[in-house]
Amino acid sequence: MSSLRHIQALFCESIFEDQSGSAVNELSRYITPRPGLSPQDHVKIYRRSVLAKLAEALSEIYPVCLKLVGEAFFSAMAHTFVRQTPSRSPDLGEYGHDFGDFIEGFEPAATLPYLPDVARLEWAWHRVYHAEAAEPLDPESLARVPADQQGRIRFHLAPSSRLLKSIYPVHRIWQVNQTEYDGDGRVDLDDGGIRLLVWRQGFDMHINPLDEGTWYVLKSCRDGNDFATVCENLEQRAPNADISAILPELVERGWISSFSL
Amino acid sequence: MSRFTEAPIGGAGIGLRTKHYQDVLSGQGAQLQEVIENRPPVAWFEVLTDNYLGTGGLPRHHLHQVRENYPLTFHGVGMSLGSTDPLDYGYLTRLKALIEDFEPAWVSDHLAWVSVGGRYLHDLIPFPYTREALDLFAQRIIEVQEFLGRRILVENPSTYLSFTNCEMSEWAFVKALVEQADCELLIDVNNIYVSAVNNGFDPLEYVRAIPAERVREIHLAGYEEMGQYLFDTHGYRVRPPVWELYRFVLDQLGPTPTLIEWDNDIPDFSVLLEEAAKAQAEIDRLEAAA
Repeated sequence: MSSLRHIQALFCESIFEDQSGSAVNELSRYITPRPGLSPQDHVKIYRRSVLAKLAEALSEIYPVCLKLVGEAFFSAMAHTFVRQTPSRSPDLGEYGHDFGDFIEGFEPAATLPYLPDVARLEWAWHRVYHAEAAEPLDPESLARVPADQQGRIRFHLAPSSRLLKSIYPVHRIWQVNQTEYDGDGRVDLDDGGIRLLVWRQGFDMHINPLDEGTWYVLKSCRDGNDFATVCENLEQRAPNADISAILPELVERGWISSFSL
Repeated sequence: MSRFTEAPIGGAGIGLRTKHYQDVLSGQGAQLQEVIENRPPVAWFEVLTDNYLGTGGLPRHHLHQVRENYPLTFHGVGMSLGSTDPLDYGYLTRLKALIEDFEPAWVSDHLAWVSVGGRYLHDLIPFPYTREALDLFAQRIIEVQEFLGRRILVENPSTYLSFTNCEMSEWAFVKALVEQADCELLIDVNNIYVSAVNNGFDPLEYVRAIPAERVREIHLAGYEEMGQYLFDTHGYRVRPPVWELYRFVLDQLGPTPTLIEWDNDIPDFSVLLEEAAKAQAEIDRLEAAA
């Protein structure tokens, strides 16, 4: 290994390693001490800066989680996450997608069982915000599909949309924790679960609660099923739902933005 | 023929920050709203390219609105030019598409590395100034310039340590690099000052060694006193010793486009305009004397 590669690998390890400090101690022999600052102190400046930058990225993506647990708790939780989760992309906007899963296993947050799903909702919001806009589906091109081919159609959700389900009223939790919200801030956790679509219309962000039928149709399409299977799923899961009413609405709202055969 | 304003980059510009884009939706994105609606008299804006790598969405939409009225330059950290990893062509491809979309006057990155072993630190990490590093760095710039079809600018970072195995000074490295890689320079005056204090060298010696004909742009920002060292916070007005060094740099280089950067505790837009006006006054003084 070249000496440069060796130094870079040690540097990276020094940023994320635990208290043992074995990497930073080895790196130290390459670093010039200064009055009042040991080689380890020099590396610590970078360690703090890198970890703070990643934690800061999380606080920007997850402002509602931050508000729910307070800054000190969030910072401790975020730092635990970033020390064990390196960024794998030059795009910091792709960092932190599994923060919700992490929170679910983060013991000190166990008293807030809805927190992981709030995080997942915020991640969905973040990705939809940055996603590509889709052209609406042309109903005429759909009408041209021969009747005997219709069962094979695969409908695709708009790229600027995300489905999300929770056993907690996370939509309401999200709403009452928005900066501009000034209504009744109470949330009854017994309000029960919710199925949501986070989506963007042009440049307006939306979160829509979905009825059971709409949810199953969208979810089944998202999972890559053809239309015949989507209808079967719907029949099993929500027998009272009417696909002939649901489908045109999904197309009209732009939630389904394309199809393939 | 450009689709946008063809005004050249000159005078004092301001670093445009996107962290307020989302706030615009709730009416709190003061800086962005100011720029889009009131069109303040700013010579040009520099954008942080790494914030626009997404395929679409609101950040790009807002940037298009800004581009309608202002010249732009691009500035990033993601090339990781000093890394011993292979070049990230996924990143470069996204960057190239962004360049085609917004037609910046130029594109810059840093004399540093940000990733190794596929892990991104998103922070500018220094490296020992050796022949080995010089050859690697120059070769990577040559490949990047070939891929992008244009020269890039390389900026000196703030450093908080120096390596025992350096074979040359940072300024000797920079001088050799621009020759070997045929690239251009972005000189950050604040960073020279911060690195000089932190690593115990004479900032004037650095400035005297800068190959003036390669410099396209200057950066200014405010550092923070941390007791044992200075930290490049980008959260303050430009400090008096940096203004002083800036005058010295301008005397060496001649009138050079200068950018005000501010990333933390971003103030009212009027403060950024004041800082830019101070830089503009220094450039004007130099031009009047010429």
